[in-house]
Amino acid sequence: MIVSLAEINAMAKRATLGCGHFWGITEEMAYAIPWLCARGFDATSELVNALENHQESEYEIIERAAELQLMNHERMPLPALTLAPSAADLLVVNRVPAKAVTMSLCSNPLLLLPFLAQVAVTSGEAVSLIYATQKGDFTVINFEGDDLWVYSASKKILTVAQGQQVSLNWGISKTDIPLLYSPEQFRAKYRETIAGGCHLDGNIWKKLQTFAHNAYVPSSAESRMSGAGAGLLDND
Amino acid sequence: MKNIQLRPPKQVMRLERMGSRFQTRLSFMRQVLRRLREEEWTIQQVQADWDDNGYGTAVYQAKGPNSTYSLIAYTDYLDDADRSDRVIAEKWDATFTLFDGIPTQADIERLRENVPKQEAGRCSVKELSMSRANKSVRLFEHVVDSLANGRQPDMASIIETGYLMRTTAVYGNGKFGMSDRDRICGRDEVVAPYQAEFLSVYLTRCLTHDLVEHVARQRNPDKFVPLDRDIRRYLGIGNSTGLGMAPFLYHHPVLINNWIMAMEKALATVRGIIQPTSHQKAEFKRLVAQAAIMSSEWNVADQRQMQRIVTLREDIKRLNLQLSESGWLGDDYPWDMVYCWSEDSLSVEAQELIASLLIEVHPTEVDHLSSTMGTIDTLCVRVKPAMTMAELKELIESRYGWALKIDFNQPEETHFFWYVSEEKLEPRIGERETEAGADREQLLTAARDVSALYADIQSVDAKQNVALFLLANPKHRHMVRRIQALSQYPYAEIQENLLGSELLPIDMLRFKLAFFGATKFDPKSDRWTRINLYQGAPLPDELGEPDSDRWILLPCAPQRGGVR
Repeated sequence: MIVSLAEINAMAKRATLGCGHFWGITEEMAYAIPWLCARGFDATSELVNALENHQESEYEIIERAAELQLMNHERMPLPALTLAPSAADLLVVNRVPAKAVTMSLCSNPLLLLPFLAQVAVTSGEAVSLIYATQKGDFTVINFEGDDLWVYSASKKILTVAQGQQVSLNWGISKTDIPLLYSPEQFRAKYRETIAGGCHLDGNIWKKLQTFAHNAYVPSSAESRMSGAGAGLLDND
Repeated sequence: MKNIQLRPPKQVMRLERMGSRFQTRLSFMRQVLRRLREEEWTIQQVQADWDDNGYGTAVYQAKGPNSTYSLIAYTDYLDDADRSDRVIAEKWDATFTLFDGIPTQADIERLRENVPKQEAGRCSVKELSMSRANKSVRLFEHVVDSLANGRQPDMASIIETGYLMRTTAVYGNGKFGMSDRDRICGRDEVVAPYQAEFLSVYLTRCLTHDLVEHVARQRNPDKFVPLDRDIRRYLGIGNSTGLGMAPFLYHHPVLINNWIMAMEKALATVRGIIQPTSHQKAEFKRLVAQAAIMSSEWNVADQRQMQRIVTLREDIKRLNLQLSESGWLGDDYPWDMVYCWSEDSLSVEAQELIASLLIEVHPTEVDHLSSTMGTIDTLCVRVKPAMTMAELKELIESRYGWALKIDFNQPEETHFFWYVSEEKLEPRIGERETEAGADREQLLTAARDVSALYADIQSVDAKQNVALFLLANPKHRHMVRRIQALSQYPYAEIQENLLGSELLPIDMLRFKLAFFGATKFDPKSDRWTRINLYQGAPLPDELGEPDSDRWILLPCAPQRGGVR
């Protein structure tokens, strides 16, 4: 099915809210999911996966000379769904001296991208995101201004469900991993999405609708009569 | 000119004043009309496949210097039992879409399968707006019957209703698969807010005029007479509006700030004029006289609004008297004197009417402000994580002092909750004590949430940054973002508790509708209102005439002075 970015924005917000997350997080997802979709990522599937498998994890912050580590307990992955905005915040407040923000294990690391992109735009400085699959296949994403370069051996590696050795960094990360997507490709995809809408899997959309439904109040006769504007019949 | 200060947010952002606003020449409907005139757009009915009852398909085209837009209209039989202005309705007398360009027959057929279903249908990126309208059954039939019998309709009936159909929703910006605003935002004609939507409403008004004549002609071709031009011009397009506008205001605070900022700058600029021209003074006096007529034709069943209208009529008389006796119009800064006197002497509704009239007579000084009323999306901005808690606290105290005075431990301060019903996602409001659903409350909660945040930060180290605070307190993220994002926008936040037992949502509705350009506010409860749009507006073949929009601000019936 084809949907607009405005619909994805509204659906991401409602689905996240329907799963019981705080308003601040629903607003972040309402930004992040259309941002990713507009650039060709299957972000609605990513959101469904994140919402279905969400588990809050205990962690502590370990501060080192060049690193701020969110250390998770008992090998439970930290959820990017709820921690991505804060991870980006922590990167921003650790600019001087520059420190990386790291997580040894993070679910749905793709959701970190939109927030790193915001940091690059608002700070005017380059930043990068690195993570790996369990097998050790790395993805490196560099952000500079509005541009991003994705280095990854495959789309599957890029969209891994659980990222290992995740780090958010100041500056460009050099790599010899092949370039998977260039800024030109993202710009072209963005133009294509704006011009023609976003092609999505209808079943994924239905799942999001199911989540979103939990944010709505069941109907009742009383609600119908007194809760809203306008009469029930308007023959005049 | 002297430098007049903008009116302060603590005055402007109160619901009583917001709910007393009138159309101004900066209203979005007015901007559409100015563009149509200045760029010499042509409006044309290009298809009208209607049966004798007016059921079928019609297409209206608006052609400008760079683009063509087409209103595709589907009119259908509607049983009286199905005629509802509510979001929960599922059938309508007429449904519309504004098509980007000239539709093919295949487009019209594709949309015939979807547009009449409204929310249950799907559009494509070629469509810019989708809307629906119901007949004002009695007036529509009265006009048909009159024209079919060779006479003009009764003016009392025309004045009482003022439109043949009323829209019940106008959707845009990507809803139901339509084009995202980003696709068209580079076009001059849609830079300002709601321009595509109000172009579609103008074309819809044209359709209602043509449709009523078509049905009358088919009923009795021998006796049929066309609708008198002055009556036609007086017939606007109605609209019925419910609670959905209130969440919109809350969720687009920067946009709202920009609307109000433009209006407040316009008022301050005009008040600062040393000596208006004699033409401007005469025009102001003409508008005051017209306001008296308009207010005499503005009668509503709602007691609160009717009382305000009665007071307004008296206030207009007092203004007239003051203008004749004070000699202000011969002094320097007459508009400032008029406005300041109104603040001291007249009702809030009269003060806001005077603000609209003053702005109206100074197009050169204010029309350019319309280009400042749009914005990028509002709250898609990053939290500023480096801000210290001391800075955040100071910001809250300076911008939300009004909210910190409210005791949210008192039940009446959280009396209401806003929610979205599962019934077609209709926005509603419930009473917390007695109704289910407060656990799914929507976010019109700034006053309460900022108070909770303020309480929680009291025990936090003042030097700590916001990043660490939000990591530990994610429930406050939305409010911290809002406070930070709005710190540069003085008119962004409604300075009222939107949950309190004294809340009258109708004030928020009127505020937004006034910026649209609505007139003849006709509240049906504290939760919904009917209005008129484009009443008195030029007909398509009058768009090019100078002063063609002089009757829109204060529409008056033809025999009362509304004849051009």
